[in-house]
Parts: sequence; C-alpha cells; structure tokens
Amino acid sequence: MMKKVIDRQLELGGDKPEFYEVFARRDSAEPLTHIGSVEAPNEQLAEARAWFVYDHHTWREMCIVPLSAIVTITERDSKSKVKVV
Amino acid sequence: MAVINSIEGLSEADRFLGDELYCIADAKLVLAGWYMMVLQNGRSIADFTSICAMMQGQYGHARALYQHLGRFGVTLEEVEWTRGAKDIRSPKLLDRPPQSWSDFVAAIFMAEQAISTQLSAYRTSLADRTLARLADKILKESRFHLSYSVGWIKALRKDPASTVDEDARRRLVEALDWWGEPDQPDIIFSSGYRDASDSDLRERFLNVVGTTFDVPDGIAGPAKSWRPSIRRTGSPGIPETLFEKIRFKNRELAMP
Repeated sequence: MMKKVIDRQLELGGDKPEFYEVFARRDSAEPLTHIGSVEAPNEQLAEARAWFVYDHHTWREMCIVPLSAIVTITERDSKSKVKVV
Repeated sequence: MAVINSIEGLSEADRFLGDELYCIADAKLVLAGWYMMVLQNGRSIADFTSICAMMQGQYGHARALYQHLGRFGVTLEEVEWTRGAKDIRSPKLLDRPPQSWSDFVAAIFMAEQAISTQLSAYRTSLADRTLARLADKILKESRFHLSYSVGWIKALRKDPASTVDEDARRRLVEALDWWGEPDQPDIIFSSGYRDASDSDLRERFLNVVGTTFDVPDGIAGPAKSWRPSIRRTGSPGIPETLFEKIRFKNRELAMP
C-alpha cells in the first residue's frame, strides 16, 4: 500500500511545522487552562483552527500562544513534544 | 413588530428589506453548499474540522434568517421546498465553482467579507431589534471564517508561484456585482433599517478587501440591469448544476 506523503506547503500552508498552544476557560471563576495545540503557518489560521477544533464548550475566553514564545523551565533540553492535533 | 401573512400587507420599505434578507440568507445557503462540496479537500484534520464548522455555521445562519423572513410572510415551505434555481438570490460571485484551492480561498474571502459588510449595517437597527441581535450574533461567529481565509491567503503568498492574488482580482469583480450603482435611492437605509447606504457599504467592503489585497482604482460598477430584489445584474437565479448540488433534498428525511 502506498504511504500518503504530505506536501507541507500545499496541504498545511507552511514548509516547517509551527505550533500554537491553546488555552481557554468556560467562565471567569475557572483558571485559564491548557486545552491543546494546533499547527498553523500564521496567527490568523491558528486562531481559526483553534476555535473550530476546540469547540466542545462555549468558551468565555480562549487564547493562543506560539510555542516558540514559551520558555521551558523543567523540560529544558528534553525531547518531549507537544501534542499535535 | 408585526408579523405579516402576505406580501400585500407590507410597506415598500419592508418589501425591500425582505428581499435583501432573502439575498443574504441565500448567499449563506450557497456558501454553505460550497463548504460542503470542498470539505473533502480539507488539507489537514484541522482544516477539515474548520470547513465543517464553517459549513454548519452558514447553514445555521441561513436558517435563522429564513425564520426571520416569516415576518414578511415567507414560509419554510417556500424557502426550502418550492423554489427552483431561478428563485435563488445568492451573489453572482458564488455561481462559478472554485477552480483551485487558491481560487476557493479567494472566493470565500470575498463572499464572507461581502456578507459580513452588509450585515454589519443592521447591528444597530432600532426599527427591527430582533434582526439587529441576529446580525450581531452572525457577525461574531463569522469573525473566525474571515480569520481562516486571511490565514490561508498569507500562507499561499509564501509560494512565489501562488495565483491567489490573480484569483482575488477576478473574484473581486464578481463580488462587486452584489452592490448596485453608487448613489441610487436606498429605501432600506432611508427608512432606518440599515445604518449605512449600499454605496457606503460597497466602499466599506473595498476598504476591508484593500487591507488584504491590492484593489485596483476605477473598478467598474455593475451594469444598468442591476436589480435590488436579487442584488444581481442580468437574469435571476443560479446555474441549474449548482442548484442541484445545494438544494434541499429528501424531504421525508427532513426534520419537521
């Protein structure tokens, strides 16, 4: 069986993976919680993908953070990867 | 706000408003059909999910607007089951099927912007508060549809061989067919249903498109045959082939 080869530029809109971490809360009493990640080549597409993929609640607040902006402390130099949706 | 049982009981302003809402609702119906047909081409799981959600959103908006048309004597029977291709009032922009992924992205950008621009003028309507609230809700939900197309346009532009700008130029001309000649009488605006005239909305649309694409100077306005009741030039209706794809089917399976 032929393995599907993904053309990153054509199919995902970017030639290298860029991730955004998604945070949300259902009401103001809840803490802003990490709910997942999306891959997108820019903020606009990340915003749309995050909103549509993580629509299992009516979020009061949702925000995205580029993975590149996160400074790791405990996991520095580890090979742990983000969960890709 | 009175509910009218037949078109004879409507004022002239209400007749024009009913026509315009029909055009907006049909634009959403056909756009939902586009998303439905393109769904299988979603380039990733996140894209597939996004297109699915936008399709669902557009169907929901269309149905909510059709329901509001009940105020003008329009019935669900008429809207969903008795109309043919010649009765659908969607913009000419959505007649031509997408020729490629970039043409699809350019076309949905223009369609989403055009519909949102027109609806934005109803958000403050004091003459019809139900419509104002509905317009506000639809606009909030449509924000993410616009982010999706703008994000893809940016991504496509990274490739020097991308045709997205040419596709957008062609689609812009088709999109402008949705607005009539500038400075014509606009009874929906003068009666207070909309807070902006069609001419101002056309200008607002061009300005917002101009933040993403180069808008050439002196784009020709629509021909004299433009009709406000269908927001189109030329003959009414959409191509039969498109209608066959987007029409409601299998009445026996439909929810009561």
